[in-house]
Amino acid sequence: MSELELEVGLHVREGRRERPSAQEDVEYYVASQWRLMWWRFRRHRLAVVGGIVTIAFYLVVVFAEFLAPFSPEAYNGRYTYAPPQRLHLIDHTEDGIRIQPYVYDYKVEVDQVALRRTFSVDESAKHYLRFLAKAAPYELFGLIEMDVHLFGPVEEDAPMFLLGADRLGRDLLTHLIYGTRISMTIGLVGVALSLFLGILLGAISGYYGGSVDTLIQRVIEFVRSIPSVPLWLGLAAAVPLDWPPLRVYFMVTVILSLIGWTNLARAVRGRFLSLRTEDFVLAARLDGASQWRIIWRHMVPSFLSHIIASITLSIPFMIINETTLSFLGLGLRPPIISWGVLLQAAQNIRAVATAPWLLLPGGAVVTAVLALNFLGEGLRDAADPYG
Amino acid sequence: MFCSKKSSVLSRVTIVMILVCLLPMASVAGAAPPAQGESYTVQADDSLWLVAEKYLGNGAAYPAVMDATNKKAAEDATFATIVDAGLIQPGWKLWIPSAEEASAFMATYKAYNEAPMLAELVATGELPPVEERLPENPMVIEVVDRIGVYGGDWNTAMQAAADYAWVVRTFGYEHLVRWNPEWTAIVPNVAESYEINEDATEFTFHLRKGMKWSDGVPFTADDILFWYEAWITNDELLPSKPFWMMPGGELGVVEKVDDYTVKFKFAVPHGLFLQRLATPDGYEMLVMPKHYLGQFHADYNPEGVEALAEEGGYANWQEMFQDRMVWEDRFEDPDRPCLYAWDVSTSIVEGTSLLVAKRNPYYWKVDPEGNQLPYLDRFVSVVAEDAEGMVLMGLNGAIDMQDRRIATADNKAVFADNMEKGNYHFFETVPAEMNQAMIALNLTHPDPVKQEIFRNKDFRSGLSHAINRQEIIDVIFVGQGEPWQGAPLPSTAWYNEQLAKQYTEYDVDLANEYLDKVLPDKDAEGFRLGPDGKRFTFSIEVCDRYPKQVDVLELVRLQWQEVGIDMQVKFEERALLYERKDANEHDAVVWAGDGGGLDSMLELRWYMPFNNESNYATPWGYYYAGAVGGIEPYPPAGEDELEQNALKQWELYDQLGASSDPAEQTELMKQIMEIAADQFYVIGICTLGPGYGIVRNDFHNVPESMPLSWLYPHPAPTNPEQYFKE
Amino acid sequence: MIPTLFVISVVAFMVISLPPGDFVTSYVANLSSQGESVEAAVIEQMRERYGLDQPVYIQYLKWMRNILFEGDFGKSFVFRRPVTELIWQRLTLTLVLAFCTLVFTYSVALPVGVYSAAKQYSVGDYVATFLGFIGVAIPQFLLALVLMYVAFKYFDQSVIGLFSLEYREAAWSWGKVVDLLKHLWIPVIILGIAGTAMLIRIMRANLLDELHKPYVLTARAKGLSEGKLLFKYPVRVALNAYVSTAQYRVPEMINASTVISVVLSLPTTGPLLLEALMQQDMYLAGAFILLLSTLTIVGTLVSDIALAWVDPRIRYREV
Repeated sequence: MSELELEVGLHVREGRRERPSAQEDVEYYVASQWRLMWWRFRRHRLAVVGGIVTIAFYLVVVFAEFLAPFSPEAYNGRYTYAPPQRLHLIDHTEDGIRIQPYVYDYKVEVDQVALRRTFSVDESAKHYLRFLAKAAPYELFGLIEMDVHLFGPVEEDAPMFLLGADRLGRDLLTHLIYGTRISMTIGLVGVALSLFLGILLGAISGYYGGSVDTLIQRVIEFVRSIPSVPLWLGLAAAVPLDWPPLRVYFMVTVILSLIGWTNLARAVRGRFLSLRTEDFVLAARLDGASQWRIIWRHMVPSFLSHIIASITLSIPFMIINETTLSFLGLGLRPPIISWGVLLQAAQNIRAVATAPWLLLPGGAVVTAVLALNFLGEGLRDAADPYG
Repeated sequence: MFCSKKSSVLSRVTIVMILVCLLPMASVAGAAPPAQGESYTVQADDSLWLVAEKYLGNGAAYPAVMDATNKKAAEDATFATIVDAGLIQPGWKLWIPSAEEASAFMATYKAYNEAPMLAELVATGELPPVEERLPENPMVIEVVDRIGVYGGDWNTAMQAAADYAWVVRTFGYEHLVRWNPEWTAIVPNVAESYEINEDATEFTFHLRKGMKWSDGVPFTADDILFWYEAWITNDELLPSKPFWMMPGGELGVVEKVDDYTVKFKFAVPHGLFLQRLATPDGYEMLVMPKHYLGQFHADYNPEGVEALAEEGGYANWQEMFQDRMVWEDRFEDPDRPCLYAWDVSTSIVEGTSLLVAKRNPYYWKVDPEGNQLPYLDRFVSVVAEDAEGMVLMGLNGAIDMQDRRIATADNKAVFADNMEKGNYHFFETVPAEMNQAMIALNLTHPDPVKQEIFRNKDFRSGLSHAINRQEIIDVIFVGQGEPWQGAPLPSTAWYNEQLAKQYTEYDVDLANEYLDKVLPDKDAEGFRLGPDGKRFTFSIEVCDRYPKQVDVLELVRLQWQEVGIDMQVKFEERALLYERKDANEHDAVVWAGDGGGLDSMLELRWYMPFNNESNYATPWGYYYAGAVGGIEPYPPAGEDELEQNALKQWELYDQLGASSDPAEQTELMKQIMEIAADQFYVIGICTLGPGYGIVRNDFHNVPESMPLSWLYPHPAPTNPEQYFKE
Repeated sequence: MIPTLFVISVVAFMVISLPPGDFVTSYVANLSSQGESVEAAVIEQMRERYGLDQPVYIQYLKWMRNILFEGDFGKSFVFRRPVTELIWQRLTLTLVLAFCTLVFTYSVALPVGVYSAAKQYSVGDYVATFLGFIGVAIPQFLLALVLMYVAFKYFDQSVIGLFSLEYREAAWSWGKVVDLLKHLWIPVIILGIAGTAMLIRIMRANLLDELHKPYVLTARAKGLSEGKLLFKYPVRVALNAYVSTAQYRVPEMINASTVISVVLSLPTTGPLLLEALMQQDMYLAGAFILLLSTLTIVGTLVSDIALAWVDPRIRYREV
């Protein structure tokens, strides 16, 4: 109870929460731990936004086929490097004004000196868009056969490049949506793996100390002291060539996590080393609690916040690492579409100078990483037992 | 094509040279020297030399006549203006100066000019005068636009360390003979002339008297003999010899006739020897200064060589000498004398990320006015780690002239946009490559089922018809190029239209018809089934460094789906791709179509199993090239039509190599191409549009257009020593 | 430490040999792909000369023997120079870059982290959080490329390398140092920005943990000034986690600098290492990995000592 009072006291002093009314007071005192966390989490506005954005990203992951207006394989040679079209919402026609989104077509000319197509808006050709448009067939969740997309041009093959087109005249929006699926999931497996390894080995090392600690420390030292770039290069090159792209994708994740766990392990160990001598641990030990119980019930929760902070930082790192691997030419490869793969196509002066919209996947990376970080930040603060 | 003829310019400069030798002793007091000067009208068969001899008593004093006439012409239009001393017309009015005027003029007259930086060194006595540095008969280089001025750097960029091919392409191309700038003929270079005997077994090269290495030591036949004796014939150092020295499997013999004459003798006719020497292969014998490299060889420095080896960290002197023979060494050792226009002074291994080559004071070429070349003081190349950095340098105007690495089709839009800012314009390159992408199915596949299907010409024809080449050209190459199979370009004498154009028409029905003959059954998804009843799948391997080829394959994959072919694209690192195809493990490989111009007589990889780059039959190619590959190479067994024809082509090319008659060689090439057309080994996509390079607006004498190839290592054959900045 | 190094040397050699092919393969492929060619005879000879025709373990043993008994790390295949010479050439600038980045990182991260924790949920905290995360979120190569283009487009500056052309060959002088600094800031910012963000987060998280501990409350109750309260203990304790990861900073920096050094063409060890790996220049790559690993291990020792110094609880722990 004293802890709770302390909580309230702190809130009041920080002035972030109005002193609860009597009724609220009661509510507050009887609230469960989760409930408290939720309240605290809500206070961190950026974290809430981050959470919403994260959920949105994962919705895109699940419904990619439905959300993407086209098939990822569709290309259109007339529109290579076409810039993003402006989306018009209100249509002025002879019949009057109505709300009907449309885009204008492009007039395309080939510039043989500069070897490119030049685009100018062709106001004589309107392409109307609609929700639930019929286009390329697909299987939702690999089960349900559908050909309805969230939105798309009314005429099935009308050019619509809301985010521009790439070098083969493929729709960037479509690719971005499909890339989200790979990029947002690549972190999950890897983080799970490195989290497990990191906490387990870090905890063992920190709690037991002695020769176990020494051994684990040597392993960590060893893994960490191999520079990651050579390790990536070597391991990526060792992935057998005849593996299907998806298995390669999985291997890349494992490679990333094999390097990633040591960070967490060391941090956990450091925490354990200093917590070991804390009174409550001693008390638990004197109480006759088993060592596992002490670790999982008493010590781990006491630095949960740190772990959460690490996780939320790890997923984005996985995403970033994936793009870096692609930069080195080692990561995922077409026909798999990920943000890294898309960025690889944009990492040249040509794209930066004449087709900057190809850098949009970079924006997606930044947004996702930011959202995840804010989410984690909020969770960290909320989960903090002393907070 | 192979005859050597001194140009008139050349002989004129010879005269100048003689003059220079005579000058110190010559007194310009003739038999009938005019007291005040007089006019003279040119007669038939006259020459300036004769006029000067007659009036001034010394033919060598003709520049005095030329100068006096030109001065007179400025005042009096009836006098002629002499531009070229070798070219005067009967009826021209000349002015003969007085003896005093003539000798006063000749005292200050110099036959050759040199760069100011060298003149300074001459003045301080650190360098001998230019006349002594040049050979008796310097090579005269025609300038592209105009006579240049001295000074300035040629700024370029290289990607990473191992990019010496760019140095070869700029100043590392001084062979006995070279390609002319137009790439139509072979011209003398280090050799001032050469002779070939009737059956092309003996080649005699006449070197330039008085020519010197960049450190001033004379370059003679001994240096070439040093190459032959210390390296080529030394089985310990060089167990296997360069193939172009071994026609008919027997090593050629090099003999010294005199100090300035060497003779190459071969057991059998070697009709392509001069062409080989003009390609980058021919460099080696001319980078071997005996007085310098001799110290690293036990036969020439028996006492000191082991100590040198130990000092350099080598196990023995042999290793040390082999290290000096690596082709990069000539650009990495600043002490090593050379014959190049610029001599490396800062090598990239010194950690400065820079390659600097300074003007060679003994360079043996002059412009038509007798200015010693090169015009530019230095060649400077920044080592960038990434091509994008080089592109930015180009956009910034930090590159004077270059196409390598930066001038990709994709970058052209950026370069076009920044022309004003970077103060550069484009020059054109005409690729000798004939195809953007050659899809080579492995006709020697280890799996007999795949081998049989791939060898079926109907299968390949069907695949070819199923490719929409025009769409590929439009989407990926912005409309540049023409549907093309693996065939030499129309500019060659052995152009074969059938080979170039057969099966290039996009026709799905026809494609299905062909494919139905081979794989008639399809599965539920419409993919064709193999003989075993399973879906017939094969993969095409592509190097991940060539995004255009990756894109081509991506479109081809989708187009082939339409005719029920399940093809997978595999991206690979270059070394892996090579290892796999060398080991004959590939289903198919896509690669560029090298060898479409004049070089197709030397590089026939796409027209017959020629070397390890003949991706449709690497074991055969290895066998024919006499090389060692990933697996034991073997020849075609001659069992089916394909194998018999491949053997027939080898026979024809052997004949070609033994011939010295260009007409006969052309005829044999035509026969080889006919068989190639008949066999249809490999599927091509389309030709290349013209390439480009950037050249700064203050950088001159770069031709507007030049061929692009490795065997014609552009831009070197366009004489970069006459490029200048103003 | 020695056994660890030994294991590392074995693994390093294995990792280098993992990719298919060898140096000669990539050498030939490199030339070939430019349409250039080497003769088969030369290829065969090269393989023999470099000992690449022998099994990997023999190559390893030979390499080790030379290192242990002769202090000879071998020669680079690509440059035909002793690898130590090549690494030394580039190590100085690499360390300069790493050091500047470290200074930048710590001098930004520490105060901002402390501020962020002390004034949790203030505008300043949000701004620091936001900027910090942006720093983590942008892929470095992309940032480098875009900055490079911006520098070209709007400032007419070429940011390739660490020196202007005229200073590349020049001996060290005041002008050269200034020139170096002019070029150094872009990589320092790009490299530092991600590290800074991370350190801010760690500092903030740790400090928040500490600030809510009873002893802080006690101290506050006793009327200790907020500044003293903050710096007397909590900041010191929070530094613990800082220090425990500090030993990886330098090697990590060298590592991280690989990618942006390639983009910006910096004459640091990064591109050399990458090239050595790509071209399978075994001894060069091997020596590099050994060097980086040794740096890390030495760093670990230093950091363990520092940890004990910062946190007495570790110093006095019962073993």
